[in-house]
Amino acid sequence: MIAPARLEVRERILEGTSRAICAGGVRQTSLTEIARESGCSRATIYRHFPGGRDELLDALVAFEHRRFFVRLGQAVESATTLEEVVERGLMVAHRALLELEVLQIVLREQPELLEPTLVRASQPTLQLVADFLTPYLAAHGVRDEATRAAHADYLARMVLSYMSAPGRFDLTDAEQVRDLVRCELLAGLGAHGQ
Amino acid sequence: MSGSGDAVAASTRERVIAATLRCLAAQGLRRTTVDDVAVESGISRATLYRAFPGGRDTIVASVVEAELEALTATIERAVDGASDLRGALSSVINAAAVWLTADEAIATLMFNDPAALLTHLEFEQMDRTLAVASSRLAPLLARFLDQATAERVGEWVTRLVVSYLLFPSDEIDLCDLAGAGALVERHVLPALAALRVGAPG
Repeated sequence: MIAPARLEVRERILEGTSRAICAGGVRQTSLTEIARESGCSRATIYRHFPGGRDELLDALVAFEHRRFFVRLGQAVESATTLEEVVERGLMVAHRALLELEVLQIVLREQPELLEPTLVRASQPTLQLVADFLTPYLAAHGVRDEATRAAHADYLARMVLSYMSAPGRFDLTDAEQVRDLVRCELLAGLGAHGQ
Repeated sequence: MSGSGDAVAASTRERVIAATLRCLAAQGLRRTTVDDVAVESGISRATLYRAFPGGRDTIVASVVEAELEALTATIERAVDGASDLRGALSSVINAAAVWLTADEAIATLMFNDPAALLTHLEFEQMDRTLAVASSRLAPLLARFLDQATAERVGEWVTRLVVSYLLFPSDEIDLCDLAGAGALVERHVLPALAALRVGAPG
């Protein structure tokens, strides 16, 4: 287990890295820049990230990814129905993704940095969202466990697809989100969607 | 330009696209250079740049365009014999999944260079991908659906195919026609029924 103080420094370094990238882009962000933004010495950074800049950038993507889903979970956890959790989740996630400047910069400048987290670990992300939705499906009346798992998987796929690329829908418009969730997502659960 | 000049240009294009696909299949996108394509196609760099004035970017864009044409043609053939909406949607999904899985260039990109694919499958680029796919799929579904619904369903089906490509499932194999049919039966048709109930007329 990592001691809390050590975790705090780690987070401070990662947050400093994120700010440095937002200010100057990925390529311009040196370890010196990160040291300045995070208020840590280069020696401290190397103690936490022995692989230096490369390790730090990989860790940053994983860190932002985890933080994104933790915050998303917090933003929707007061929802009581399946409809509400999916509607609110889509709106919050879409806005948060657009506002996650560091992600947009990395995607534009060096998308290969996203590979370890978004591609190789994409299955756990799908599972994470499916697991989050499962209790709401139970409350929605889907009693059979296998059906619930299949529905959670389908909904998670659709939620992940829409939150990064809304296509023909405007996810800042509550009316459109309601139409999307009722027609395409929940109605897609057959008899359980009604 | 004379007719035979056009024919020469077209055959140069085809050779370059085929050679680029072989390079992509062998080594992914990041490591493929214009020189590699020149060697693989047996066409000089000078001729290559004459046919593709933007160089590497233009070649890659032409390859994407050619792949899209090939995929669309495959889907068109598959959907041709469908007699109902269920059959048409299952065939579209199945044909797309089989083609995408069998394409060696895409397989190498998925394995070696996923960022190159990812940039087309996330955010604004994915919105563009969805719009192109939806406009190509809608006419194929026109026998069974009105225009607006066909476009909406075209986009939706694209999301499903991309999702199962990115996150393969142990439960549903879209490369199997029965698997694609099960997905359509379980999730797409019930939602479509709800759409129709909600739609005017």
